[in-house]
Amino acid sequence: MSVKPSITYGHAFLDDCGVDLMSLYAKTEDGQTLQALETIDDDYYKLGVTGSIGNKIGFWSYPDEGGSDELALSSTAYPFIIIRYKTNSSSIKAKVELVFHAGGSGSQVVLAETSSLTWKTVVVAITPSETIDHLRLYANGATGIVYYEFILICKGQFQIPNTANGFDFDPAPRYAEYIVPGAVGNERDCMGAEPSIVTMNCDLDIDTGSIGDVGNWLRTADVIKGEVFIDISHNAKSEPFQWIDLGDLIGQFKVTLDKPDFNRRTSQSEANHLLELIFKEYRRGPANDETYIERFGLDL
Amino acid sequence: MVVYSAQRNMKTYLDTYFNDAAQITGDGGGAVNVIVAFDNPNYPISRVFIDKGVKLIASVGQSESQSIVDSDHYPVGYDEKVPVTLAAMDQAGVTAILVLEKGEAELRRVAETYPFGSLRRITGSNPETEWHGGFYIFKVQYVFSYKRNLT
Repeated sequence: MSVKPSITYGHAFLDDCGVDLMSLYAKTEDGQTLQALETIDDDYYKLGVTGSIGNKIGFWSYPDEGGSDELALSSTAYPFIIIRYKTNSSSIKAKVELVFHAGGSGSQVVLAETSSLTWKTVVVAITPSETIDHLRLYANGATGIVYYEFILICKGQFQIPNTANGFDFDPAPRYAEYIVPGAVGNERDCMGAEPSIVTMNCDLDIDTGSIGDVGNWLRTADVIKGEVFIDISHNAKSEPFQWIDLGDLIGQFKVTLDKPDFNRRTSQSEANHLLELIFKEYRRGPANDETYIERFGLDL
Repeated sequence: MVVYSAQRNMKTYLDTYFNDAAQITGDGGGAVNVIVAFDNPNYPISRVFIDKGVKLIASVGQSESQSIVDSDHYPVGYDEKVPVTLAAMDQAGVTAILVLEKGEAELRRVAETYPFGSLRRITGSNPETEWHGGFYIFKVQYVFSYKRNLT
């Protein structure tokens, strides 16, 4: 079965696990002794645990455990959560829970207690017809460290119906090249690097199903085919990245979208409605502490 | 689910739109008997004109098909070429070449007005008039390119 590429859209809540929201988290300890919440490279949270007794439960809440409807997010409008995490041992457990508005069904564990020595990303459907009040990031079961890289609640993942006119994936090396004065040839420098690039050339004239169906270029209420990419481009100011799944090519990582190019190419007797999409790898920190498999999500 | 052939879909398309307002008329200006049919019927063409009184035939042939393949090797659609032949013969009150002209104009009107659904367009035409021993069948063949998804 063909697996088409897909991309998130319509952010409702994003914690990119940098310094922005870190100070707003509240700590709860029930047997776990939690260190102060840290962000590494302004890129991912480090939940350190130095003691583990009794119930062995400890978590950080955003924004906190008090109040009501603090996030006030409709799970019908925003039905998906994506979480990236890892642990430094198989004893300590990551876990993520969404707490709903009082009177709803309570809460939903969107990531059950689990360990992973490499970065893992999960996409989970949220129970519909709930109002999300706050979320909890756990570090349970033992001493050690749990890392969270981002938590994203969004409208959905749009499946790209085809890339019939071409698909390029150019994974970038972790060095830059520069010209040395007076010399021939480039010098390599590991101080920084270009992002990886994904280019998709799509045929808007080909899709399946009805408006709103998976496989159709139109979401419900869309006016033009491929409108989701105008949505993503327009809202890039407040949505710093999207999570892309390259489909059968295998690979999942954060990207930004360059200006989508809707073009109509004609020859004498034929018109083609095309869409060119250029995605750039998005990172807040270096990829030095990841394997290439983790960096590009080849094991997801 | 049965996926209809491009030939069958084209006949349905023409049944719906071709000559729907009796655009095709004889020498005197009145509407004439026009049919849309499949190519290669087991029936003499002269009898269609003479015994059945048909003045113009729009006959839909078998299609050529080329798959449109996605970058993951899976097909996502087909680009098909369907021949549509217009045929007429001189009869009382009908000059074949004139009714053929009206048929061509009508076929172009349909293609120009209704390119959507599956995407159809006329990509060319060729005259194919033949001597049938005693009379001419005046014919012109148009080719519709027909781009559609997997269904």
